[in-house]
Amino acid sequence: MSVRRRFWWAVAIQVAVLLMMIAVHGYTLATGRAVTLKTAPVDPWGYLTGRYVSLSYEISHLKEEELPMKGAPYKRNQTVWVTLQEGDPYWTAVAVSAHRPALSPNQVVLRGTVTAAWQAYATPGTKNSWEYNLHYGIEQFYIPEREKLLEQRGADFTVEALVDSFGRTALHRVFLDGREIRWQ
Amino acid sequence: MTERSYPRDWTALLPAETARWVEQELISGPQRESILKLYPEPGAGARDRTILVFTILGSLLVGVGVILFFAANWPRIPAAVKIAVILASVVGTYGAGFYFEYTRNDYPRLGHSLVFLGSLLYGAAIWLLTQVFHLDAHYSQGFLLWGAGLLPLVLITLSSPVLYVAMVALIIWMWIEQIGFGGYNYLFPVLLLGAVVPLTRKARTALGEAVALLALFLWFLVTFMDHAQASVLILTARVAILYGAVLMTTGLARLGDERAYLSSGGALTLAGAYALTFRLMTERPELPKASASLFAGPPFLTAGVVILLLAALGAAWYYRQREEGKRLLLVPALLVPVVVSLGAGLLPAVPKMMAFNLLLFAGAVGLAALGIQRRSELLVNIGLAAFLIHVLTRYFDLFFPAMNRSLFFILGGVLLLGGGWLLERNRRRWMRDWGGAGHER
Repeated sequence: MSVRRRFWWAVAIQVAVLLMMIAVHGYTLATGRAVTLKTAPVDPWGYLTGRYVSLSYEISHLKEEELPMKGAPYKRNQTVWVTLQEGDPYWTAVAVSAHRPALSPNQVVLRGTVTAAWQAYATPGTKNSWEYNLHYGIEQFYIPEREKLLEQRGADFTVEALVDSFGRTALHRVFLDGREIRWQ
Repeated sequence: MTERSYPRDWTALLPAETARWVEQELISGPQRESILKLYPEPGAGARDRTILVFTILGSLLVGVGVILFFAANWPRIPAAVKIAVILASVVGTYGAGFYFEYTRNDYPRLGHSLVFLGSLLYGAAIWLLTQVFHLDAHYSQGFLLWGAGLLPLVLITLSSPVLYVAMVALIIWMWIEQIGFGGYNYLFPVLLLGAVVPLTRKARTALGEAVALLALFLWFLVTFMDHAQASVLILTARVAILYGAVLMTTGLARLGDERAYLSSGGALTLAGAYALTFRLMTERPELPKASASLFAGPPFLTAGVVILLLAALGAAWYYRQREEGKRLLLVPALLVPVVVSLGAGLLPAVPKMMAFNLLLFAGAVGLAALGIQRRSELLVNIGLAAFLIHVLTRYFDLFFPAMNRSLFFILGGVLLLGGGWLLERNRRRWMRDWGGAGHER
């Protein structure tokens, strides 16, 4: 094989990596089912990724005492499946499982990663229960008017995310007090 | 290797001629690089380095400028245009690099630098795409995609700067994965030993090889050490001594290019020994049980180092059978730091401190002597630097509390100036005798 051909093969591998990133995300955007989630902006921080707002969802922090958790306790970095049920207006978590669960028509399942797991001390009359912080990959929102957005922390933030058949999620639309924030 | 001279016309013609041979598939790209390295143009080394430094700095500035421009204007550009710009900039830069390095042949350094710029833009592209799509996945994987994605390109171009970028990206990936996410990254040593180290050998970059080996040490530490241990510093220093000995043994077993192993291993062993020469370090309570055993430290940690050492000794024996035997007489000497490091837990505080002081002294002198024997300025410098730092540290340790302050500083100054003059005089004499760094191996 000539050096020209081998050089371009090496470049093609890099382009393929970039295209794969686009394709994976594009699949979620093209086929995903829309779910509306309650969220709030939290402290942003990033050294490579520029200006963004970190989003924390109600489904980002789940407690064993509040919903069934199959296969619990989960470990840090473990992948778990969070079942969301359609609500008005927000979708809410109804179950967590170590394996992909069966779903009813008004449900979707999200694939999350446990970022922290701890046992909350029991109060009199209750038993110790596990609590988890979960990461879904839709926690960063890149936006030029970051400061303006953060000034309105008390406002009503809503995210419309798309969930594909693999449980992967993609940010689709973000709303502030019902008004969509356009980022391009 | 003695330098020979060749007709200037011939060495000037060689790059274009060999490029034609590659095009006609008579030889491969790496073979061309090897041939060109055999017949350098007279005075080409310094000139090439200057050109390379300038063009790489230019590439860095262009890369940073492009990233800043898009960072500032990013929100106003539609997503499809962003993606097109990202892909086009990566492919276009590589294309320009290929054109100047391989097609035109008359601007190989510029072409090389453009390929380097392409490797930076490829990394930037990964993060720009995460912005376009608001991705917030396991972000350390971005560094893996960057570093691993560059390795095939290094195989083709044998570009040391691109290899350094790949190594830095992979080291950051390992670090974030293990320290940031608290996971275990067993793919890192596989990539390092299976791809990066062979590429450093192929690209003939001693610096790259040394960095790769130290990265392996870093991985070893963050993987097998319990960060909660109070004595983690002591363990780190001991493992550094052991790993340094392993690297030096490997270096002695290698024929030809041994400098990277000897220098990185020597520096690591001396640094580890230096850390343990302080009273504070030896008096600290060590691991509750392990301190009494010969194998001070977690058993698997010790086992890992011992296996590495045995492998290095095996390699040494294999090469001894084949060719040079003399150099391997030094291998038993390298067992000394191993024994001191593993056995120090048995000793009380003061003899333990003395053992590490002796090890540092003998190690510094030994490395300098090895450097003189091998005519390596780098090894001599590492040995002398360790010796000077050791003398200075002990002078402060022992005399600062007891002596009159003014006398302490005057004597210290005289000691340093005199010692420095003596060492520099000898060093210059050695360098002169060798005829400069050209003889360095």
